[in-house]
Amino acid sequence: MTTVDIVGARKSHGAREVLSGVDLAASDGAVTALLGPSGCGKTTLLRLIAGFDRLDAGEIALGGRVVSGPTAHLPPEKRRIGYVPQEGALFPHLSVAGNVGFGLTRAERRGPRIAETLALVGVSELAARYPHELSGGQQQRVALARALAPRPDVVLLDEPFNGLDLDLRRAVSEEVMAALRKTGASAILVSHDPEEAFASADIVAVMDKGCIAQAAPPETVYAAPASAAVARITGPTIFLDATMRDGRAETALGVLPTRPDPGCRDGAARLCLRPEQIVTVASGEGRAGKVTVRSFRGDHCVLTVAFGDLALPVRAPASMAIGPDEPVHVAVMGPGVAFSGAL
Amino acid sequence: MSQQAFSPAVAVARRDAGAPLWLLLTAGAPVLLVALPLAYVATRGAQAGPAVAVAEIFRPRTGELLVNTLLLAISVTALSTLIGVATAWCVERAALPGRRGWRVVCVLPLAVPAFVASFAWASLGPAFQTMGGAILILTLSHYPLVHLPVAAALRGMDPAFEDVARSLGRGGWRAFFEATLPQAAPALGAGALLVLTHMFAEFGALALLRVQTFTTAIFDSYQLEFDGETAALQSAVLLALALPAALLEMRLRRGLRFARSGKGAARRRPPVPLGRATWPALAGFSLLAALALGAPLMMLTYWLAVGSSAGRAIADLWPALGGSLGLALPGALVVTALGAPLALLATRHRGPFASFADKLPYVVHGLPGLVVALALVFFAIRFAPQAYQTAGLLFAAYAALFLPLAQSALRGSLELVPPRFEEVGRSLGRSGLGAFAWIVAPNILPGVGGALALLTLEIVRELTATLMLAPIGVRTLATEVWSHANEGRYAAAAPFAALLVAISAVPVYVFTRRADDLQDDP
Repeated sequence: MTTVDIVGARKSHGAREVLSGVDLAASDGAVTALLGPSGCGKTTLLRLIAGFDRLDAGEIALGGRVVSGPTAHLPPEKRRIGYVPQEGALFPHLSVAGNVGFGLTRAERRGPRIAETLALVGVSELAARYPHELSGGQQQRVALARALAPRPDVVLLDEPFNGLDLDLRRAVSEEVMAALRKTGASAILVSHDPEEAFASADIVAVMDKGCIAQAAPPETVYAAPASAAVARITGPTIFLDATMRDGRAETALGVLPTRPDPGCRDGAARLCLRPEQIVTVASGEGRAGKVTVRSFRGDHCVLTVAFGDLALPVRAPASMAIGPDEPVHVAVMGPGVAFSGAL
Repeated sequence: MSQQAFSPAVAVARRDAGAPLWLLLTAGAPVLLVALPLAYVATRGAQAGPAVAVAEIFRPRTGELLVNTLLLAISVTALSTLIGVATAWCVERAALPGRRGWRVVCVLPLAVPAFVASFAWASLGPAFQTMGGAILILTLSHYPLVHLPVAAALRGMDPAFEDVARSLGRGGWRAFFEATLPQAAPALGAGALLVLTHMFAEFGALALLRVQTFTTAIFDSYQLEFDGETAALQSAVLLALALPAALLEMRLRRGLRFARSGKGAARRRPPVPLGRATWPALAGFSLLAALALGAPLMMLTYWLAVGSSAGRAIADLWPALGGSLGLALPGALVVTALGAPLALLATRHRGPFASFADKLPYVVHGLPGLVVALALVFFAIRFAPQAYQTAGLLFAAYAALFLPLAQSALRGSLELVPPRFEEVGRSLGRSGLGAFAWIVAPNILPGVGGALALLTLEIVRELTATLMLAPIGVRTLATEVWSHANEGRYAAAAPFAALLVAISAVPVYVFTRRADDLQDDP
């Protein structure tokens, strides 16, 4: 229920600069995902917003009020934030109800707020249990309930679903984010998993080497990455050598259309495609290549297709009966994104 | 909007991750305390001058002491390692009949302080008051220091390592030496070095067994000429021996961890059948138990029976017990209170000072109690004469000797409360102090209780520093055993010794059973 504005945030751990001038604006009630590889500084940024650590330079404002700046630092307990750390970190000496009530006043603790919050995240029946009696998914839900109980303005989630198994992770993260959205609080979610970030967030802020490389809605970040690094961080990519001419890319797969943004000048370039853009087509269309390897993946298969010296992975239906050394025709769907400079 | 809700000036002065000033100051006190013995040897050595120092150190007498000290220390360490590894493997990995019972029996010799065991053996006959006797008796009372860490390492180790070695064509013995033992090597090394530092520091047992090493020589010099140069220079040589061992032990102990690759719980492994070796193994364990436990306990019982006819000593028992507890309980509180800031610094604020302050006590812990006591006497009579002959000075010695016990007990429980817990508490509106009181304190209480119990026990058993620094007229169980046994009044010493053993046995038994319950096979 508030905005988060970060301007020029810098932070070093010893001699190593972790954040080198981060700018980010998260609007009221939005869920913003900080997506990046490990070591990119996303957790550091989250801890600065929470007030656990101090900025070296720059400014952080919550709801327009500067909480971290060159001359001031509001301690974390005064920031009205909710914090959900990795693995939950439930207090082992308190029951679920005790954990959720921890941030409430004595009067609120006697009221309906604890039950209300537990119901919101769907674990009402666990109130009397202790953390060691909960499964990983239940612990995460209780950790969110604990953060939401005092009605924070901003909820900060630090890779909260990391400790869970992959299939459980998708389900828990969906439910937890749905519960979070019901409260209307703004949220910042740290993640290194693009799929989780896309599914949860309104805005995905891609972090690379201590900076925000791009902050945009998930579809934009995926389809029109601002740099080659953003493309790699946001999902599987295929780069083709290309020569740009009049906004079109000449590649081994033919002359292909490119997105107008971020824009690329004529000359040597790299064309970035997503794997699902490269498809098999009926013979006679697209480019002809030769299958070298067929790898079965269950719901689909991946063909390694050679075009002269170039070998590309191509997704194909699992039912497609094709073996090594057989010819196949391949086309590119939709525009790619071109970046200046050779591979 | 505005920033007036908090004070910018105060806020900027602190750096994050930096320790608050009060914590640094309180951690400075124990650091100062443990640095005293080193300062004492350096100061006294400098006062004596290089000529005197060289003459003293190169006396033939020093050479004799050096040979005796090294012979004793190396023999006991080697034999303890051999026995400790063999017993640990048998009770953890082999299908030894009655292994649960043997696990406890193997550790129980720890309940008999070395000077009590020595008194029991010495009373059996003068044959044991020799170097050979000392090596035997001290090995029997110290091998559990190797047995315990190696057994823990074997228990915690992923059996997959040995399985892989077997799958790669190693036989049982080779798999043990090439896959299992290297994993246990840090634990083994730390245990062996602990025995070594104990040997350099041992005083009571050697005095009773009439074996001359540096510690007994330093004690004699101290009694001949109070605060003399000879004692200080002999201390310097002893420190030169003990310090490297203590440093190395500390380093190894730091690196102790049992590597597991991959997630999931380690599988249990069926114990190795002993086959034809079963009976010899059982005979060995029985012999060990008879020598390490049976003989001392039997002699104690004998002297108790003889002494009860004399009837005298029982009346002295209560004042001595009172004296022991009167020093041990407040001593344990003082040491725990001094250890707390060190443990907090080490777990919460990593940095050069924190790491130095945290490690220094471990080094001093490995130094002989005798030298620590001498150092405190030296500084007390010069700078704080009113402190000499008070319990306060003795508590300072206890702190120097036992701080690491408090640190590791406290750190163990502090580590169960990661800083993240406090951060969550603060995000929920508690101040730094409030988060500590409501989240950290309730979770470390068991650790504090454990530290107090352990320290009380250790202080009750402590002889050397108590002997030298206890206020005049204060008698403890340990000093009574020593003074009676030293003058050959074995029957008079027995009741005190028996009570001491009984008090020690309880926690040793409880700790072993608890470790057993934590990870046991059906």
